[in-house]
Amino acid sequence: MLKRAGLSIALAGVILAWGCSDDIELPTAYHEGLLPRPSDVAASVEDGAIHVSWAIASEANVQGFVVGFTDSSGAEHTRSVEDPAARAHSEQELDVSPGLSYLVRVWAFDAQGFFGPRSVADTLVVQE
Amino acid sequence: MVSIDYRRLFPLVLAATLLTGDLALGQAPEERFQVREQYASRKQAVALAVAFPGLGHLATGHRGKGTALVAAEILGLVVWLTSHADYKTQSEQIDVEKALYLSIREGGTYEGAEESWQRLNKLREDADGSHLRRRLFGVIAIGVYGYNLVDALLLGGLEPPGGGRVGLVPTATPERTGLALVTRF
Repeated sequence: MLKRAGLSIALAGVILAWGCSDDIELPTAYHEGLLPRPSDVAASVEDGAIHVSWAIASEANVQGFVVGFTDSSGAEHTRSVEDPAARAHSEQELDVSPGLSYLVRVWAFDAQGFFGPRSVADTLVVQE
Repeated sequence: MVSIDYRRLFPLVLAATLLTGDLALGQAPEERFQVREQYASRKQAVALAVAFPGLGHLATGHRGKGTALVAAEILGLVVWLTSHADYKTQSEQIDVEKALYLSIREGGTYEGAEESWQRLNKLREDADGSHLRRRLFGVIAIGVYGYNLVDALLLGGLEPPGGGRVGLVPTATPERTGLALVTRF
């Protein structure tokens, strides 16, 4: 009787220990490779406007681009370009007084509003 | 005035001591092995061994083995249960982080998704570690319990201490002294 009880407890323990399954599954890493990172970002001031150009490896999933201007105070001003074929943007609302500087970045977005990886920043210093 | 001659008293004390010893040796075996009589019966010891590893051994006087089994079982159970609790907590955290990661898909940023993904992977690593620990120590706890049962039920681990089933015992008779091979049944 006791032998049976002991063996039953041991058997239950084995089942319990091996029954602890590792059932954690991570979702698919959708963010990797969904949108390409824009490259070759270049910014310049011409005729009182900031002209930004960029390149991108593929237009897959691209619905448009965001052009970001970060001023010296750290505030970021963003402009949306809803054209996957666009490779340039002309910004006329920002202050281009001599001595001001901006960090200019570009990133793509898709139809669901997901924003892709940001490009390397190009530093723009407004000359006199 | 009474004077005590200690040189005369010494033989008396010695004789009294020897006499007391002889009386002790002359006691019935039940009285001489009173300590052994306090051990649990085999049935009780087996019940204790089934209830918790080492208790049967402790109850039959195997202090070293009993203590080791109790300690190993407690360690195994504690680490097993704490690892299990850690795993459950990490699993819940992963569910929360997973929901956050998936919510970033609509209206979120790549950087936010990447940070969430890194947190998810870190949590997953922690959960894997907890899972490995709980399995390892679960098996240890069960192994200790199994060994305890096998030792108690099959290997005679609950026999009273004082040697194995077969042993050599010194003997001394008026004719000769020597060793005897003794088997206990």
